Amino acid sequence: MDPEVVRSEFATSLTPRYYVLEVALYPAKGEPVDVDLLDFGLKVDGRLVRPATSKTIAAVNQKKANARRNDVTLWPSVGMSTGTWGTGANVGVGVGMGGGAPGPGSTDRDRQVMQTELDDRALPEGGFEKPVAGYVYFPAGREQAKQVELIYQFDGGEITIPLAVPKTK
Amino acid sequence: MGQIRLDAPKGATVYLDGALAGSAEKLRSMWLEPGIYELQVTGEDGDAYRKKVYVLSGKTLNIRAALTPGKDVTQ
Repeated sequence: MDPEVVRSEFATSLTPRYYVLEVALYPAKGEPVDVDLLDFGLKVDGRLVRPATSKTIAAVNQKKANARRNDVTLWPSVGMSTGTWGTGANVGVGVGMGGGAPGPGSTDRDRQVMQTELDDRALPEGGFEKPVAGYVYFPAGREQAKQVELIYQFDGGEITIPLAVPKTK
Repeated sequence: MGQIRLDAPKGATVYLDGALAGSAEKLRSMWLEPGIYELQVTGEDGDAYRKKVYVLSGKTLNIRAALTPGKDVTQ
C-alpha cells in the first residue's frame, strides 16, 4: 500500500518502518486453504523477511513513543520576588526529562489499541473454504528497496509474485 | 486523549458505541480517551456511515463520513 494511504487508513504508525500488503486468497472449491502468516515472506533485494506480528509492532511503537517522550526539554522561566530587602526579578532556563502528559501513542492502553487495530485488519490465520483477505505487515529496511517479491509457500509449492517497489516514505 | 476530526453532511447525527453523541456540526472535533469506538453518523434521510475507529493518545484521525443507504442501526 502507498504510505499515504497507510497513514490515512491506520491510526497505528506503520510508515516508514513497515510495508503493508493487502493479501487475498481464493480457495478452489472443495480445497480449503490453511492460512499461516509464516507461509508468507517478502524478498527485498534478495533478503527474505517474515511478517511482523501485531504484538511486536504495537510494542515497538509504544517503546519509540516513550523514547521520544523522554527527550530532554528546555523551557524558559521568569520569576518575580519581593521581600524585606526589596523586589527582584530573574530569568532562567529549566531542563527537564519528559514527564507530564503522555506522548502520542505511548501508554499501555495505546499499545492495546494498536495491537487490536492491527489484529482486526490483518489477514486472518486458520482454515478457510471461502475467500479471505487482510493486511500483512513486513518490516522495512532503512534504505529504499530496488526489488521486492512476495513469496507464498504452501504444501508442496511456492509462489513468487513480483511487486511494484513500495515506497516507505 | 486522541482527536477525531469529523467531516459529515449538514444535519447529520453522531453516535458513539450506539449512544447519541450530538450533532455532526458540533462534533467536528472530538477528544476521546484512547480506545476502540463504533462511530456512526446518520443523516436526516436515514442514510448512515459506520466505522470502527481506533483512538490513540496524542493522535488525530481525520474521518470523512460518506453516508450510504441502509446502514443505520440505531433504529
